[in-house]
Amino acid sequence: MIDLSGMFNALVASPMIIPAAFAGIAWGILGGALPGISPSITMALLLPFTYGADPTAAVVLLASTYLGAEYGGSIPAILIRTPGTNSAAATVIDGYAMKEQGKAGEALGISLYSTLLGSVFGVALLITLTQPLAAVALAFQPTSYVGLGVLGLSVIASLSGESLIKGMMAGLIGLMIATIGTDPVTGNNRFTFDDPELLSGIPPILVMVGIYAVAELFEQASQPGWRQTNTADAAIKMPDALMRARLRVSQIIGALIGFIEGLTPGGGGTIAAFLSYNEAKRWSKKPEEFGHGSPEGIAAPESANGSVSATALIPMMGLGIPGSNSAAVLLGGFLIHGMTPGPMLFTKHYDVVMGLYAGKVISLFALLVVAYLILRPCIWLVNRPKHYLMAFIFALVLSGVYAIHNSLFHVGIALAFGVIGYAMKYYRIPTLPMVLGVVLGFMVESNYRRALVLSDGDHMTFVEDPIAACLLIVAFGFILVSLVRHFRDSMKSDQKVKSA
Amino acid sequence: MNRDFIAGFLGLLLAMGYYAMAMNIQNSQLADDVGPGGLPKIYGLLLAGFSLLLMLRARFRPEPVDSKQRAVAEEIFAAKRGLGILLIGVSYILAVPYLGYPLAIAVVIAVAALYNGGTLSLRMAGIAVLGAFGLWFVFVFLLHIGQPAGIWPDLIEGLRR
Repeated sequence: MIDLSGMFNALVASPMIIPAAFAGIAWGILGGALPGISPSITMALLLPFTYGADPTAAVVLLASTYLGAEYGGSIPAILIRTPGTNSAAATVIDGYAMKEQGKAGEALGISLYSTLLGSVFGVALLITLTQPLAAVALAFQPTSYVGLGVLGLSVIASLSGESLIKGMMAGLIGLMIATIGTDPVTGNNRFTFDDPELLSGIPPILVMVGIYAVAELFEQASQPGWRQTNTADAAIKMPDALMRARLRVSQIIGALIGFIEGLTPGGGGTIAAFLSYNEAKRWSKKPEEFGHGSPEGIAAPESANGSVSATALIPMMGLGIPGSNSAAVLLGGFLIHGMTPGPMLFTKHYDVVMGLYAGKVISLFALLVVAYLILRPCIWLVNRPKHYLMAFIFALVLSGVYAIHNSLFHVGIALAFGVIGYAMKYYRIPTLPMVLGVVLGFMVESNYRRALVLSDGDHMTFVEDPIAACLLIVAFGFILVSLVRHFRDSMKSDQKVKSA
Repeated sequence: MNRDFIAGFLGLLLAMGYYAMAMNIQNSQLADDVGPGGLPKIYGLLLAGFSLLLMLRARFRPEPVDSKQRAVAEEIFAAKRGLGILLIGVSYILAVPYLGYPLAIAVVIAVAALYNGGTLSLRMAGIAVLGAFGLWFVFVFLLHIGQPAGIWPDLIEGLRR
């Protein structure tokens, strides 16, 4: 059941939610509009600023940034044929074609309208589905948390991309990073090299800022600048009734696919956008227009992006398992305020959850307002020389990371993770499993050992707890399915290489 | 030797180093059956296993086709460019305790912009100063987050005396 009074109470208790939703949308649109700056990077850049903020306002700021960035990515996709985010790549096809036909305003309007509708659908599902998912919270014991942690780690199997082995390696490196610091049971120091700054371990936020933001700055240093656009034909024109009727089917397709991909670990906006583009073309009455400026070709992927930005939070909040980079960064936002997403979030920090729901609803209104106001500043920003933007973002990272714990050592750690992130990209090792390992490592180890202490070292305790047993069975099923899929994919890939 | 083989080799080195350190973790009187070194040792062994698997696979299986893969010369160029940004960051860490935040961050903006393709000009200096002021205003003035002050407070105090 939707707790409307809870949401209203949270809004009254934390009125900063409203400006946070507006600021998040504005920041997200600006970040998303800059090619190369993904939603997760835009969110990671904000993380240090949220450290001293009200926890509810902080998570609303980050969640709104996610939505803003998903929309922002479509602006350069339509205007300069360069997607601001990966998930806006599908929008380029028909968005830029419409711009070439002198319909940039219409294309921007369709993009905004579709993102908004997809988000409304996603937010409704987020509010309805997350709480039942977490309802088993009260029955959770250390053994159940181990089961949950293993389930979370089993997600690595589907996040591994082309190689399961590399995904497992990345996950293990993440687990290793999580062991740095004081041992959760005995208090012994592990891998601290007698450095007091490592006693409390490596905060996940440094790992995220490093591998997402810093690594991208290293990469961008060798990339050419992006195209420029003029502002003359860029004014959002919302679709009229006739056009709205034409877009309906493609928007529903996009929202539904976005919902499924948001729930699926490793799915995310990019896959959802291309899948929905393809499906919208299949179901369209005018499929021949696709690729030549079809409004439905913009509506489907943008609706999917809007839906994903909300539904990706369902497994993150309900189970503490981030299925995408952006969800992982939002999880980092919860962690730096001492809140652990997962079942207990709803009992320990119910007010924050309600505040986040309220913030997500406000962010829908904010998107509509801010999108109009920020379009011209956005185009101005995209037209600035890239070297200034990159330099300023780098300065922002250095300042922000220092601000978390007033530590230059932490700035060094973030730079080091930038190098690690860059190297992982070079060796085509997925980064998200590593983040998952860092985030879940401590929970898995501390609860595993606590459960064994309570059961006098009997491993059967994990099978005797029905919740843990169920979660472990699901986890092993998940791994099995992923293994079969990877095996099948690698067979296909081998055949391709041989035939090439 | 393809990338996967090198990645596997690096993973193996990391696993060996980590496992060696895990062996040296002191056990305590309060330790449980698993102990503080228990899981780290398992992680080390698993990483070594997966690294070896990757090396073996790379040895006997051709590298997958990747249309986005850059040429070696391009990769070296990109890595060198990235290294430059890293050096700017490291220099900032070393210099900011002496130069202080506003000056050091202004230098970072100017140098990073120059490195990313900008040209040295009064405009660039102005943007660096303005950017540094903006960041100082947000972090120090608005959010009350202390940033390194550098040698300036001591120097001014010394001159006053």
